[in-house]
Amino acid sequence: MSSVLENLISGITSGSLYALYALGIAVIFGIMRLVNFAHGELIMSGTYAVFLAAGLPVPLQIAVALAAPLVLALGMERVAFRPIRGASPGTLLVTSFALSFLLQSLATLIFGTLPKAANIAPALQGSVGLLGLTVARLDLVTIAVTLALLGGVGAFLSRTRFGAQMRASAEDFTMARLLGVKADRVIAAAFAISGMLAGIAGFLLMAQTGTATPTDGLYPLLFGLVATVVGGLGSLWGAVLGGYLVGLLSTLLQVTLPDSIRPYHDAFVFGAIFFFLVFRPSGLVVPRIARTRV
Amino acid sequence: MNASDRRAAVARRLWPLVSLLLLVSLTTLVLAGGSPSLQRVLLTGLVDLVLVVGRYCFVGQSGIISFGHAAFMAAGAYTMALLTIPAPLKGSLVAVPHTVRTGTVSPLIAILLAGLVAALLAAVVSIPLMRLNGLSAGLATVSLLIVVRVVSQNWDQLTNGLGGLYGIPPIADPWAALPWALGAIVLAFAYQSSRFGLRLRSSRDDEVAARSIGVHVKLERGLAFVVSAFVTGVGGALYARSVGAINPDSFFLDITFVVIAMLVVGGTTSLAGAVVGTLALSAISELLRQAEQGSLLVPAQSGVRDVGLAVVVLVVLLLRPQGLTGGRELPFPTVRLRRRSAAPSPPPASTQAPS
Repeated sequence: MSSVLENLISGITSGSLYALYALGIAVIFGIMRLVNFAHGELIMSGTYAVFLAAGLPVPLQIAVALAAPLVLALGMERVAFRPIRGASPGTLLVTSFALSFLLQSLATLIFGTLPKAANIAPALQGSVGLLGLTVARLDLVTIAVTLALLGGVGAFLSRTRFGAQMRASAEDFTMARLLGVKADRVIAAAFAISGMLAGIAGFLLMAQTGTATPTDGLYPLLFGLVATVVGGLGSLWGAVLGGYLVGLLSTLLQVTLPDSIRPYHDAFVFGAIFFFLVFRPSGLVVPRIARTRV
Repeated sequence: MNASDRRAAVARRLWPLVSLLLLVSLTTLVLAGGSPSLQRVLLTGLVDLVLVVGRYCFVGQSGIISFGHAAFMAAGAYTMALLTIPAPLKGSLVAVPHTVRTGTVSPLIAILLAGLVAALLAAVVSIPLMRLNGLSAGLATVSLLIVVRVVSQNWDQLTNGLGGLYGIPPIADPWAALPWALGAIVLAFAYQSSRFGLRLRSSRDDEVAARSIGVHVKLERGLAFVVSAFVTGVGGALYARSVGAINPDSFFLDITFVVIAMLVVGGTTSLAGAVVGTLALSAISELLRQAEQGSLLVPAQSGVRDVGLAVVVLVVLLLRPQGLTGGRELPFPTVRLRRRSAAPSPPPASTQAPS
């Protein structure tokens, strides 16, 4: 029984991370119809920022981990995505793919391909006893931080004027602009939120693995992408739900697959997602914008 | 319509095909006489051309960006390796059934079989995949890429895992790859000129309207996916032959980026775009490689070329989102004759400066 609960907690932990990745992707997709492949590189920039700030006190590390992806996200919006705003989703997709490749190559050029190790936040390491269970401290922190962030983003979207503008833009961008929503500001805000989510994810990832590599962004991106598709492209809460679902599924397979085929774990996860989509092609939550109006 | 009019009409219809065949053949003719390293570049370029044309068959006609085609390339390459590695070596690498372990087939048969294996994989995958709408389908192909990668990394009996397979009888002569490149272009042209290509393009331009006139969008997309996978599988087999050794990393994001970049730089929606993009990016990539080795200003680091390529692609996307060809086939020369008095042969649209 206790092992089941422990596994559940570790599933919720990966789910939390996936939800962070997915939300960062969904918040931009909702407004711009842009699937940002470079979101993984925002996370990667967070891990390198933490590596570079390794000597500083933890709050400063977090600040740096947030600042780097934030600046990068706003920069990529300004340089790469603003000029082609309104282009077809295919063009946007390929642009972000090229951008992702560029940032990854740059990281390789600057830092080399070998992992950079740093001892991050020792206070987060180790495990604690909780109601008779042994739980990694980092897992608890990850779950708590994610819940706080989701709550924060939710409150921002539902309670503030700016959040309302963002939701309106996600619903119908043209209409929102006609009603006086400033496109540049709303999109910049979406990228800022995305960058901030990537920064936190980067910090948590770095705390988990202790190393930064140029390919750090790859798996977060892939899991974030499938989570958004599972959740329903265009829906923020669908993305979060998709993230938790993929995380739980991944852990479930990790625990139940026999040893001989455990190396195929990722193949099973992605295969399962593939077949989930057969039965629910539009994902869990189908936002109004996703339906074709005739 | 008299006979000469009919001939002119046929010439006009076939011109996009003929011009590309000429362009590729002439390029090969000019470069094949060069130094061994130039021949190497040419061979790589021709193999890339097969891969790009293969991806174009689906992406260009359907408008769905596929990130999963490297999986078909892998299927083709591994099939090729298993069918052509000499028997004693193969026995030490993999643990496949006796007939496969001891027998080898001729390269021609092996390449065609490689294409068929890839096409079969695509046929199975396309049934669920084409239920998704365009963008989601494109993203879901990412999971295909991962699944094939994980399987090729771990199925030691068949793929020798991370060690990969080596000892595939190599080809060094670009002329051996040329017929396949030309064949891929002919197949792609035949497909896009057929009623199937027309139907699929109609769904790309307006899915709802296409459905309303009776186009079975899922079926058409699935068909294009299979054709596209066949060509890509052939390309994967050629790739395996051109390098002689393969491993799971050969079929992941790097090659995915290069192929998509070539297609996008040329212009996704035309066959000319696929060809011109491959030629342009192969040339740029080679120049960057030389710059990276020859210049003292830039340290010898493998990343420089990747950074340069990514910058080139981004610049093209920002300045000319439809690609160098503008997504159109090469124009018939007489049109140019009337507009400008000079009449140089093929690539007018392709050499235009980005505007």
